[in-house]
Amino acid sequence: MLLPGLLASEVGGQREFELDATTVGAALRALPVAGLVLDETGAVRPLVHVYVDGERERDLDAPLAPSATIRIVAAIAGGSYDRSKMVPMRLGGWANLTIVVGHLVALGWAWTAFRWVDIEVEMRELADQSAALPYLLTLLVAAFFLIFGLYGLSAAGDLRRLPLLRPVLGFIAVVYLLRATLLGGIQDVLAGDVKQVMFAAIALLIGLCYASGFRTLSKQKRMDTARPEPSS
Amino acid sequence: MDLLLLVGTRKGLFLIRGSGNEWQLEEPLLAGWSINHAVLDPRDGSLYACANNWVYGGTVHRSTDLGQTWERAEALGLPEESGLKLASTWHLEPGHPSQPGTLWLGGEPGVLFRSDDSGVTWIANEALLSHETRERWEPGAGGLVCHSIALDPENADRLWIGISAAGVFRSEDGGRSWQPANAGTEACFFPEDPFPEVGQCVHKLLAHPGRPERLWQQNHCGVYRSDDAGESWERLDENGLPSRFGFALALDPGDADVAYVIPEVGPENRVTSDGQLGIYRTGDAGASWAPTVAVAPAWAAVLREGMGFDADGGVYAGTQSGFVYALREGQVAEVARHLPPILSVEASTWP
Repeated sequence: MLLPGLLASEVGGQREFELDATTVGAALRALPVAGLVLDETGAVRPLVHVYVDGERERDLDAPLAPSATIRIVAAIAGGSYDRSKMVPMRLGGWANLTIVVGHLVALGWAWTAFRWVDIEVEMRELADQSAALPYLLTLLVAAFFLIFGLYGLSAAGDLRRLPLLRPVLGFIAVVYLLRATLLGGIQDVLAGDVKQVMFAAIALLIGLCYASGFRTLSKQKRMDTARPEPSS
Repeated sequence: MDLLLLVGTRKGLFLIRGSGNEWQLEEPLLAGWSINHAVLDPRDGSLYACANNWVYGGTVHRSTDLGQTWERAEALGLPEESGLKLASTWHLEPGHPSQPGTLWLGGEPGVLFRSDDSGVTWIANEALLSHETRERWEPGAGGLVCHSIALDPENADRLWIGISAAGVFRSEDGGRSWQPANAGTEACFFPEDPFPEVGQCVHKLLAHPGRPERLWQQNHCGVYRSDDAGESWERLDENGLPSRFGFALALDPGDADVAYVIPEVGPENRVTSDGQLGIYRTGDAGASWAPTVAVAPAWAAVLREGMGFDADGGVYAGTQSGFVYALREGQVAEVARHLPPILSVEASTWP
């Protein structure tokens, strides 16, 4: 276990510790500076980053190899947000991936599926140009859902941080919320089409998930740039 | 008499030895820690520091050899059922002389701890954590901070605390229950209800060590004195004070009618009034005030823990620009310059 300077100075300057522990959490709890690395709930403080053999480790229950080296690093900025606030974001991400799987499976029964979602006429027109077009379009739509889902999971902290995370998240939220309201949803409700209203409701839920992720990320950004001044 | 100034800064704790008009600045202690407050326990000479770090959180350090070696409080935190986490430690008050080993610690978010083993272990004050008015407390610019702990000089069961922005609370039973003590103090930022039961933004609260029931506070919305243990408050920021706004407050243990404040322009411009660092003194319990200008021109800021006082009527102010000034017998002296931003100043005698 390797400690940064400030923590080492709390233990007489000792930077390296040999510890017997089977999990990352057990190793951190065995440190004489455990109370500075972990908060009172036992969670790693948000700006403390733990690396095991060079890889960032967020799971305190992760097992340790016998000779593993743990390094504690103080974040220069950013840190990580409260991951419990990213539960809706994670759900939204997985919802998109489920939709991707749905599209891929539906390719096997494409025309039944097109009929079910009321786009058979449009697809027939495409197929008149080229028989492959409806399939290619379905794959393209699935690719977009895949990107949406990956950005969702990235925001939830489950994947590496993707480029333009916050603006893309906001864009996805707007797309879903528009689909659920102005671009279809309201019309569906007025038309009393139960199936389409259900689709609009799903879009609304997913849009709200992404909006919540966007909000959490924005708050974190504000916290990074504006630390409150003590006292004044 | 040999003085010891404890100057807590954004980057470590500085001890300054004073002998006559000579001041000797020592190397910083607890380097890398932001010291919201440090105090020398007059009962045993232990040095305590509320040390905070933006990565590693807030804790309390104790030294029995004036900072050569330190011990850190064990498992300082809030109980899980409170749903709160300790954000920072702010003010440490040695307990009543009749309770050796007892200390009080104020912190954020609006929490109080008690230790009965000289700061090794700390128990969060349950009555304050679950106070019925807590949902009406709002954090000030520095957070929801319990920054003032005032003890009754005679009655060990009676104490007051000040929380921004929840107000003043009094306990008559050693902290088992707390009653709001804000009658007459204004919450000028609530135009629809300027005199609520709680929600006042007290900036600093002190109890006179020689006259029970006399309290002073510098508030967001005025300077106040109470002569009945906080039952009622009288507003004092007329008659010579350029502003009702400020943070720092100091008393004279030998004269209960003396107090010092450092007015600032206002909440939107937190610099000292009139382009100078003026330390305003009253000698008549707040009926009139007159400044001693420590330095001019100056647009300084002295934070709520930034003014300390000794047993002989001397006061010591530390600025956000890292200067420390002493005001003794009407004379100002510069004690230190170019320190990191100063968060707290306490004056003690060298043990």
